Amino acid sequence: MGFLSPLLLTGLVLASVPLIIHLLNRRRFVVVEWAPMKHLKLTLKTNRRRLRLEQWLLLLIRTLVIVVLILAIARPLLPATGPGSWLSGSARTSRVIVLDDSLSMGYTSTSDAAFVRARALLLDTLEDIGSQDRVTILLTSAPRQPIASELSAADILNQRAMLESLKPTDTANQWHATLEAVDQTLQTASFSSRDVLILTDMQAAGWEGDFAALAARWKAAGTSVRVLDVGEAPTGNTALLSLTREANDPILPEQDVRLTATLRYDGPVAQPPSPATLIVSGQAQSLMLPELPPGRDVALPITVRFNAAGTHTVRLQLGNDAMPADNARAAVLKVRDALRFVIIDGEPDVRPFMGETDFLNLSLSAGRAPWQTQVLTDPAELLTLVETPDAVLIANVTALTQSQIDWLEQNVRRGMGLIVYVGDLVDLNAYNDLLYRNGEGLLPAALAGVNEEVAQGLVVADVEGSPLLPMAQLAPAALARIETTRRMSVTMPGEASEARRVLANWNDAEGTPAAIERSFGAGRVVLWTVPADKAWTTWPTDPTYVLAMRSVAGSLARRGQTQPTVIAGEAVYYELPGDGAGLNLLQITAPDQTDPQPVTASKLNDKLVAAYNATQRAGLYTLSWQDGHSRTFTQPIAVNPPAAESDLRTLGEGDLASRFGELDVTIIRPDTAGQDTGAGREIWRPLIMALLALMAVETVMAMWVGRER
Amino acid sequence: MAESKAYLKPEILAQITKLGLRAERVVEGSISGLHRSPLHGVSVEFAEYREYSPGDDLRRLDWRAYARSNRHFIKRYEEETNLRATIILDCSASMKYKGSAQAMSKFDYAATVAASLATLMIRQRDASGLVLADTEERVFLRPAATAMQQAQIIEALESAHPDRQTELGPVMRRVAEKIKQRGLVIIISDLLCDLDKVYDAIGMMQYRGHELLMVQVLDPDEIELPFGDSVLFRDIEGSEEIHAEPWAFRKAYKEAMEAFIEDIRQRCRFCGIDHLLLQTTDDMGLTLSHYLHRRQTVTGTKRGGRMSSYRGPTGGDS
Repeated sequence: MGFLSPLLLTGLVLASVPLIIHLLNRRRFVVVEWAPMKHLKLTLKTNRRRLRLEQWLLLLIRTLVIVVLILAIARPLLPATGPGSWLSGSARTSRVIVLDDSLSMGYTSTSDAAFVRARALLLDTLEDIGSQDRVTILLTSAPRQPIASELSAADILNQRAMLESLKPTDTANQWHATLEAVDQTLQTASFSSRDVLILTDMQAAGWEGDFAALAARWKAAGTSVRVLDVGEAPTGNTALLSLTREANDPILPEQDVRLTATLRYDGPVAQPPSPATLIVSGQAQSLMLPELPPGRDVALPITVRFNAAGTHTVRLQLGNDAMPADNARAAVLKVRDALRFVIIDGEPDVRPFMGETDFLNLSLSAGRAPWQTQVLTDPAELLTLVETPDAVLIANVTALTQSQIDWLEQNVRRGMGLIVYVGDLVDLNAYNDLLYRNGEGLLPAALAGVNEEVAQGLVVADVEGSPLLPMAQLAPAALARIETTRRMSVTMPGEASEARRVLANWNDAEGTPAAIERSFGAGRVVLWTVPADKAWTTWPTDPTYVLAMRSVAGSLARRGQTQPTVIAGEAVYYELPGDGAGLNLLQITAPDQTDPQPVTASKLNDKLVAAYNATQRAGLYTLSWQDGHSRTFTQPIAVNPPAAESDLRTLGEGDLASRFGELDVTIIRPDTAGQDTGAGREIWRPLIMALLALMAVETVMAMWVGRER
Repeated sequence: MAESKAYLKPEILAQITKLGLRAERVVEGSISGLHRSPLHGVSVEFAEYREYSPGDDLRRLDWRAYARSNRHFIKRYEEETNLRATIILDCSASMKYKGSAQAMSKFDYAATVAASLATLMIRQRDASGLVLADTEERVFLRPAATAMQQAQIIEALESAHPDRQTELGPVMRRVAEKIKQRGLVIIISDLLCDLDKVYDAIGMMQYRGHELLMVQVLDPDEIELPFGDSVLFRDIEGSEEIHAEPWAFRKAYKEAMEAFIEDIRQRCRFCGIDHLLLQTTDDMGLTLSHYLHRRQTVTGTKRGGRMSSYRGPTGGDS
């Protein structure tokens, strides 16, 4: 038998108090010179034996009251085997042991990590469980896949090596899902007596949700729940909470890419500057972190540059601390070789700058940026493109066929950009009927007719995230030079919104919109109310035209260049290119493994998706496959630790108890290492009952002994 | 007459003087008194008047005197002789016990009783003697009916030191041998001694024709055992000590004491001896006057069994 609070056993010396009081009382007496000694002796002789017996019995009961009280508050544990199990009255029990293997269990403040202690306690507990019981062991990282299911403790201990090789994962706890899995296990348990033991560090993160229904079920079933707290008070931890790129425009070679790392130090005093390692596409470089104030998030800007197109990785690694698992994060960035724009010229002309799109083409292809333009004179050619462009620019095209519009809608919905310029050739009815479609189509606004009033200047609207924002930084005089003799009036459907907004207006009496933007699926569409040439405006000859066209085109180019972030424990879904014909050797290599694991691919929304869910370890995974031509492709996937696990705040006993409502949850906190730690059954309840019974007996006995005799 | 402030209390005397102490048996005497003499032929001449007190024989009322003075007088005749009373007072250490709530120790109370009775008897011209007894007779005053005798008795009582052990039985035997004439023997004691020897001595006195009066004086503490918590009982006549908690056996003790007193009472009744139990909280004057009055009024033959033939409350009486 062990005790959860053995230091309190020193209180057993108090058991001598009744005896001491008894002896002191014997010293406090009155001396009486007495004459009828003969009769006194005679009476005492007759009653002495009974009196002595009664007094010793009373003394024994009073001593027992103190002994039982001290034992109860020292919280004794009877081992499940041996005579203790008989005393505790346990029947054959189905036991479910939940081992918390979340990231925070790797926290090491003094000697061993919390997980190491929990693992040792798991083994100790298994050794104390009687052979008649059946044990299921669940890990919080995969609660639906028990590592042992309804086995005897001895059978589980035969796989001791497997148990000893268990390590904490980089996953976050989701206790609601975990306990639902426990509940499911209990429902198919062999015995009606059920016991749940949770070995955890009591980290508060992950206990969100409503446990009332679960607790009520368990209470009704008489399931006992014990939580063994193996955590230690944290002394300090530096965490890399995120590594993200806020902008989502395409990344091109030789272009600065700005990332932001969020750091946090939880400790008593500020963390002085410390070195870290930034690994960009396998090339490591050192950097110095700033001083980290305690308890505050610090944003660290990081600029990287890639010199070639392809999929690149960026990994930031902090120095070691008490919890190394949250010190590194990675990001996968796809670098495009060039942006591709397709311009459809509705009024081509071989003469220089007399064609509809000459100015536009020049604006987009100017400079060193790898922007590629392709001018088409027939919209029908869109359907023959091998590769979907990043954006399509339609300039003064009379009308589009339904199939062309379908192609545009499909690709804009997937992220392609569309920029529409009006002109003399535009068939308003066709545009309104097919492209606008009462607000359901691609066009942001209905075309109402040509306004021939002269307007001087362009006013850029202050709209958050507007692609024309660079224009707003120009001097107002620069935009005031723009003269417009004609422009298309439009009709906006209802109020402006996030999905449909005016980016700029002409400086006329009505403030006619100059550029209107709408979101369409994953892509966006911008309607210019003037042509791309100088038929209606002098703007194409103005330098601001280049800036405006490039800003809008660059902003509307295809999105989705940043790979989605995957958190450890979550499934990876990767859309494979093509239709899967000839797909072969689809596999993934985890960061701590050398042998790749096979991955299955399946159709999801007409896309071929590779899914992999064994991401308990954070780091860079490598997905690889071969196509029908035996070409090998690889795709790095960044799996990052959950930021919530870096918050080492713990639950108090009251917090945990309140989550379980009426269910009485016993929380065991071993005081010192090596102490009996919850294996077996607590018997403080029977002891309290015994204490109450003893106190009642003592009261009755004291009254009976003290009666007049 | 020198009267003790300590033991001779006028208020008690006032309560008992009118009653007198009359011998219930015939006594031998050389001086005329209240008591019938076994010696016939003595003058039956009128001797004196005495004021009537309840219980007196109405035949002895002098109606003429009543007619003259409108007061009741009893005629006393020469045929009445005097009483020779010997008071044996236990002055052992056990008699000095005085309960914390009591005004007098047992000895003081007993001495007051002795002084009162002695004074009463001397005033009614009966001879009264005193024996102070512990392991031996410390004072032996032969009965006399003089004022000097009264003073000597008072002085002896006041100078007594109750600090020795008790050997009441042997002392009583020796006193019995010394008293030649039949008379009244008044034993005043707590009787916390070897009672077998006391009963032997009583038997001897009965054999010699003495009338006996047993006055047992006890402190209420000795009957009730009123102590709480822990008490170290130290033998008042020895060195033995007993540590006990009286609340645990008070009832049993009281029963034992009641049995003890009842046994004495039964024995005395069997032998025709008056047993008067006095507690030191009792109103002495009232108790004595009640007793004396009862003694005068109760008539009839008392049992005269021998102490030696007593066999207990059932067997002995049969």
